[in-house]
Amino acid sequence: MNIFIRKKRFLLGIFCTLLACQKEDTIAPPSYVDYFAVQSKSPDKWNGLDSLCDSIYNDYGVKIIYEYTPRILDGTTFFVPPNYEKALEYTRIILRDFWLKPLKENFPVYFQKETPIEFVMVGGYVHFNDITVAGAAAGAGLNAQFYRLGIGGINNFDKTNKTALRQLMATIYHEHAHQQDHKYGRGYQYDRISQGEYYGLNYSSKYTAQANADGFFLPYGGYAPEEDFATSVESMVMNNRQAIAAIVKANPKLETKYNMVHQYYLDKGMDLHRLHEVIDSVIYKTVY
Amino acid sequence: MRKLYYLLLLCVLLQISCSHVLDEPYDSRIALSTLSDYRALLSQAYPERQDLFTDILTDDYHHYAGSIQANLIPTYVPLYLWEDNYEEGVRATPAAAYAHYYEKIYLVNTVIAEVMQTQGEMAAKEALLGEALFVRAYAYFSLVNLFAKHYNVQTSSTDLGVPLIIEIPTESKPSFHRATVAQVYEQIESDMKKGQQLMEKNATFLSANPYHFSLASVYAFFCRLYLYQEKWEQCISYADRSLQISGGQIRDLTADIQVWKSYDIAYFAQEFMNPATHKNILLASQSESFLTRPTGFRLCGFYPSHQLYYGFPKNDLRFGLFSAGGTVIDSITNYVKYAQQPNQPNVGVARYECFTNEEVLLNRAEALLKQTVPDRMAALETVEQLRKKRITPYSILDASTLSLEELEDLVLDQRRKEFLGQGMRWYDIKRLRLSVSHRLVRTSPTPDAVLTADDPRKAIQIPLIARIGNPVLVNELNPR
Repeated sequence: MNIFIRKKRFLLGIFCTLLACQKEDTIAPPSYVDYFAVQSKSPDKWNGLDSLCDSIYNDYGVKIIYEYTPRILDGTTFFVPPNYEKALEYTRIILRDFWLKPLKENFPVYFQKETPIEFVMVGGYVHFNDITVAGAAAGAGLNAQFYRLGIGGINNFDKTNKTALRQLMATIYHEHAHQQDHKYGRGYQYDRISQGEYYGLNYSSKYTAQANADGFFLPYGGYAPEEDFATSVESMVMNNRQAIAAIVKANPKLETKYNMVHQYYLDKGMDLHRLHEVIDSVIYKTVY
Repeated sequence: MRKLYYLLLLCVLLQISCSHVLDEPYDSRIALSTLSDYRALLSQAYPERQDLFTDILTDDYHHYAGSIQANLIPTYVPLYLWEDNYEEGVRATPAAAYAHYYEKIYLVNTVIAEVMQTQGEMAAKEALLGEALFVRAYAYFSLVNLFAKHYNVQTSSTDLGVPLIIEIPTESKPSFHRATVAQVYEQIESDMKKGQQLMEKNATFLSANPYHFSLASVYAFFCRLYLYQEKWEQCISYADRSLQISGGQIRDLTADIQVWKSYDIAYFAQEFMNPATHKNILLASQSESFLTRPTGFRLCGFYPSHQLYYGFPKNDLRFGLFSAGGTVIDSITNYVKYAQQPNQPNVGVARYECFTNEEVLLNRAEALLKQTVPDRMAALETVEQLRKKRITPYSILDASTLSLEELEDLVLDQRRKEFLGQGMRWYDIKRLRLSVSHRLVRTSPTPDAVLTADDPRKAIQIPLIARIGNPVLVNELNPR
């Protein structure tokens, strides 16, 4: 009898438990997010910029990115996407006509081996940690990668300002120089040239003449060896051979750096003096 | 019956073998017997500069979250905010310092207790005992200034100090209550006075090794002790005695920077505190691990504050010791003085300074200004000995145009610049009752934590690991 009662209580317990289970709401599985899915638009949804990007990809093998997904950019750094009209102009003029087309035509070996396969356009500047905090970069954080180049400030693009266009091209090659630096290294001997003489954050209090006298192409080059290297390239993009020859006379260390960087690029199929001529010719002669 | 015989035989055999085994030491410990043994033990008993982490408690450093190694966050971010619940168990923390100094006290107590009973020349033994007393005093001085309020003649007789252990504990599981700050200082001064007498009496037997106490560093220690106790006349007296013996040579920073230019920053940092080439260092210390873990390398997370960096005069040679810490966007600098930095937190041997001529000079200058009848001319003259080696182009200051307060500020400013990154600022903040505010985001308009003039958190809390080992401390924690 007792066993029977106990069995009944046991079954009652099981039944109650099942009832309790029934009361629970069904837990919905979390929606699946495939962060690595390729999210290309189908051609019927392409806008003009998408078509342009597609033709650039076909012609030069570079994927231009103006819309972000978690696969493109992670969530720890703040990027503002570019304005559509500005991005369209920038892609056509800067990326295709000023950068990739002349590069492929004039420096085919360098183009084939060194051109990044992705280019990210950023409308504002790159903000680290906090979108509200000042201290933004043109391209830092994007360009420490072998395959991708990125540039900020696209929303300020003004195709009528030719001086600014030259600076934009210099910035692209400056940032690309960081990639080359990461990829191959600038070399131990390069860092030895101005060992112990870098300004650090104090670069902002220096003028160009002082920087030249101290052995740097630009004050910003005095920040640290990696910027020294990149500003050397930037200066050679901005100045012709004669102007560079005059600058490097300011300090033998500058001449040493010039020789090293110029040869470094020559070894990869790029004459930076020729590049300067090419860039100036497209900026000043092309109708755009 | 036969079994019983076998059993007895076995017992006899075991007894024989036991006596043989008991003749040998049961592990690899060396029994101390000669004076050389005690000298070697005393060398081991010298503490490292385990207080260098205090730099992140000061206004010299700020936090930059963008470049801190994740494993450093649970330890150093709470410390930066003066919180007690930091992660223990790593190097360069209050917990590590507490354990380290008491470990050294255990060793030096052995020397003090036994060295006079060993064989050897009396003068040599006395010299070693004198040195040992200074080592113990130095360890207690470090402990009491980390884990207690700053010495205050009005309150130190009741302020909680640290446990005073001056004999080798013989109990199985002893407890140690905290002595008062006054009692700890009395013990320190007593050891130093006795040690001074022994070292002066047996000066020819003192070690010439700059990693051991000399008379010059002993007097420099007295100078600091009396500065902290605000006994100005004695501070000046011992400063003069130290400078007289050492010659008062000041670091040639131009030569150091030339080392940086000629070699690289790693070699420069390794050599910066080399006492063999820097006669300004009166007592040096060497460690086998990297003691400045929250500062001094790229991913440490704490860097010289912008206020300090941008306010630093560009014509000051000490400005040349700032180096770029990351990308320009990070806007961080490192101030490297120790070991193979800036980016190797796990380096091996590193040298640190304990007492320097520069400190003696600046202690003297401060005491001259704060003594009963201030001597402004002598104070400025003392500071100028340092300034003329640091400012280029140097221009002499006119004491007649500077008020007493301005001169005191000048001395404090020179201390801050000269000892940046050397773990000295925290003690100045304590003894001069300075306030500090810290931000987690350095550009934030409001601070995340503020340390007031008489903030009880200036006495770092007794570490958890110490409370577990010595439970009586649970009821003797620093008030919060």
